[in-house]
Parts: sequence; C-alpha cells; structure tokens
Amino acid sequence: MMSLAEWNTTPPDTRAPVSVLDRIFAILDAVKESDGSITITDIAARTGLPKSTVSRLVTELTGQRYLARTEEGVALGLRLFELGARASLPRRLVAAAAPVLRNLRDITGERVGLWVQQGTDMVSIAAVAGRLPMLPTRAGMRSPALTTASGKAYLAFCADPAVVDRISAPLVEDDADHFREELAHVRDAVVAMDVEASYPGILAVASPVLSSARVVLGAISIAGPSGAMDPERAAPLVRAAGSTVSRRLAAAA
Amino acid sequence: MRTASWTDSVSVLDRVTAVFDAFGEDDEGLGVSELARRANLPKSTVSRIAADLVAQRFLDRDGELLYLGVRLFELGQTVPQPRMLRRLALPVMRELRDVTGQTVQLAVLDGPDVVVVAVLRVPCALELSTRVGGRDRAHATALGKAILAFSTPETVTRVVSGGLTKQTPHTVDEPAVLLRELADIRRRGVAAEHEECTIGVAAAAGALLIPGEAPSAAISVIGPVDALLPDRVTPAVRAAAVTLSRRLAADRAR
Repeated sequence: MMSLAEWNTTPPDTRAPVSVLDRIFAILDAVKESDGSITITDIAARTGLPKSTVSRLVTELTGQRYLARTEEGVALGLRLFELGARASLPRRLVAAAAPVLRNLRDITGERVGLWVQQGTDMVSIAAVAGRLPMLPTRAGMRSPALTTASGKAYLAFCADPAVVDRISAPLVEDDADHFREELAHVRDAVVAMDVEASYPGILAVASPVLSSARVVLGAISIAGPSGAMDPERAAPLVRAAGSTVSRRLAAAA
Repeated sequence: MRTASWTDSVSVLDRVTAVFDAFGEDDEGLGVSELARRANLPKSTVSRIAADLVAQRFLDRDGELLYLGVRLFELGQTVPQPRMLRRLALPVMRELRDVTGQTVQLAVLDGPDVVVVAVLRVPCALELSTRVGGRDRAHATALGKAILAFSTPETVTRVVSGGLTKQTPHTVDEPAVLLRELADIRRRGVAAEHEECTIGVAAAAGALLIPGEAPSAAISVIGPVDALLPDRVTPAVRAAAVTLSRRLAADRAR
C-alpha cells in the first residue's frame, strides 16, 4: 500500500496520451484489444492513464453508448457497431467485391480476403473461408502491412510516400533497398506475394483495388498452405479479381 | 467534483458525437461547412476535430469531402454482442430465408430502439430500407414488439414513457393498445407488424429467449404486405426463434 506522499509524487506515465481525444481513442483501443470485457483497472494499466481519468471517461463513453457495461467490466458498445456499419469505404468496397470474392474462392478453394490500410496494418473488411481455418482473417482483424501480400500490393500503388516511409521505417540499409525493389516488381506484376513471412506455413498472393482515379483503396488476397497452393496459378486469378473489383467500383460510382 | 478537465472531456466527446451523427445513413461525403452546419458547431471547431479524427482514421478524407472512417468499421466489427449473435444466427437466418423466400433480419433492443445487426436479403419488388446498423423505434416494428413482449415491466414502461411516436398512420401509439398486443404476442410467441414502420411493408418476428435472462434480440422476416403470408411465415419464424434461442443458450453454457 502506497502512502499518500508517495501517491502524490508518483511521476506521470510518459506513455499516457495527453489530449482528451487521444485518451478516448486509447481507451477504445484497450477495450477492443481485450476482445470482450475489460475492467477499469486493466484499461488504466494498458493506457498508462490514471484510474480516475479512465473511470470518468468510461462513464461518458458508456453514457453515449460507445461502451457498454458488462458483468466483467465494459465492452465496446452498439454506437460503434452502428457507426462502423455506415463507414463509407468498407461499405463501398464490400458491395463491389462480394461476388468477386466468392467467385475467387469457388475457383481456388482457398481463403479470400479484402483489406484496407490503416496505420501500419492492413484491416480485414471481408473474408471468405477456404481450406485454411479462418484465423486470423475475420473482418476487423489486423495484419502487418509491411510483410503481408495485401500490404505490399497496397503500398506498391500508394501515392503517398509518407505512408510508405512510415510503414517501412523498421527496415534499414539492405532490407530497405530490397523492399523498394520488391514494391517496384509488384507495380510491374500488379501482384504481391508473402511466402510464410507473416504466418508460418501460409502463402498469400494479393492484388490492389483501385478507384476510377487510380487511387489505391485496398487489396484483395488469397491465402493457402504454402506447400499445396501454386502461386503461379493463383497470381493471374487474383490480378483479374482485383481489376474486376476496381471496374465494378467505377461502375457503381 | 466537476473540475475544469471533467467539463472539457464531456464537451470533447459531445462534439465528436455531434460530428459522427451529422453523417446521414446514405453514405454521402460531407465538407467541413456542411458538417459544421449539421453538427451545430463552429466551423473552426469542426475543422480541428475533423483533422484529429482523420489522423486516426475515425474519418476518411477524399479531397474536400469527409466520410465515416475505417477505424469505426474496425471497432464496429469487434463489438461483442452483434458479433456473437451473427455467428450463431447466420445458419438459422439462411434457413428461414430459404423457407419463406423473404428477407430475414436480426436485431437487438437498445433503449427505445431496435438496431439491426444482420440482414439476409432476397430480390424484392419493393426496395426495403433495412440495413445493418439501421435503427427503428421498437414499438413500431415486429422485432421490437417481440422483444418487449418478454421484457420486464420496467423496460416496457421506459419505452412507453419515452413516447410512442407514429412512424406511419398504422403505428400503435396508445399505451393500452400496445400492452394488449404485447400480451397477445406472449401467448402466440410471434409478433406481427403491418405497415406500422413503413407503408407497404409487413413483418413477423420472434424474440430469442434464454431462461433466466431478459430478452435482448429477435429474428424476423420482412417483405411487401401482399407477399408476406402470415400463415406461411408465422410457424417458420417461431421455429427459427426457438432454434436460435437454443443455440444461444448452449453457447452461453459453454
């Protein structure tokens, strides 16, 4: 038990977000990462925020239904579900891609996914199960943009150098050069591959989805067991799927 | 005690909510001026909040236009209650759609409203406005009435005292009439609705019931009034609600 004097002199946690908005974002992320319910104490531990601050903001977030109280603490609330269902890009992409994703899965029998970039990750916005188990590609899940086929397909066509720089920042010297070369190859082939770099035993092939103005919006990917799936056979199918979705998006606009 | 930072935090979240809610249901992009007008906030305030929200992808920017962002989608997909319900309900919903040939919905009660968490559509002469994330008044829908019929008196009283607004001329807006109808639904196990939420549209719904728990969700079929035959859909809806309730209870017990 800390004495009051010690309590008062506890230095502020340097990880802790400062602005109210950043604190709200950090709390929502901590609840999301708990994948269910989480206590105020655990949110405080994960965010580095004082428990009193967490408690106050959680009350506000619960009042506005961003969070919901549960027996074990708090969980993400229905307002986020509603707002998320209205998010524009995923909705437009999923509408254009749904039949193409199913078709690609039927032809190949492999797991097919649709991805958008966020931060240093790719976020799954739709997935159709193949012979691999669904983990880790259900909608809403993240994968690193740096190593995944979908991430590389996206980055190769990304017109914003700041995004590419931020995501490839962990790479140094030779690795950074190789990565630039690989993206150049992806631009030529309009297809990217990930041979067991992100997930052991799993091979993935991806192609970008572009808007009518040639802005990259996301990527379509196919993943299977690396011994059994033939990347040379998958590549043209994924490329065709990517361009079909791009065309359908342009037609819907 | 309401310190300065407490007041600040409240207003920040209120402002963010006002910005989110300014976006309509039709997926359109909004410029900062229009957003400020709809959110009833100064343009400079909205401009600042929007920049922060774009940086975190709670909003997406395309040129001058702002849209609800990918981060909201990601968080939304992770909300436990709809996710669990969708996982358990999809096979049952598919079967109900195939048996009835009509669009099937799954919704949860949220205050005085129901929020649709899953939809399986059939091609339909009538453009149904139902969509995932959509919200309707509970008393005006079969889904809401199915849940309220098995809810605690406190829950029903709260909905009634919030006002039974008329969505169409057919919406039940008399508390006594609604209570009688809820009693009838309890006997029959299925709720019906004829043009009470949307003109030309009818629906039948059954609540998902777990022993010892207040109901929070229901499953329904919805379609054009002249195509939705009560005799045909009512037994199928009742059976689907029972099957799904059992799946829910089994999942809870695991």
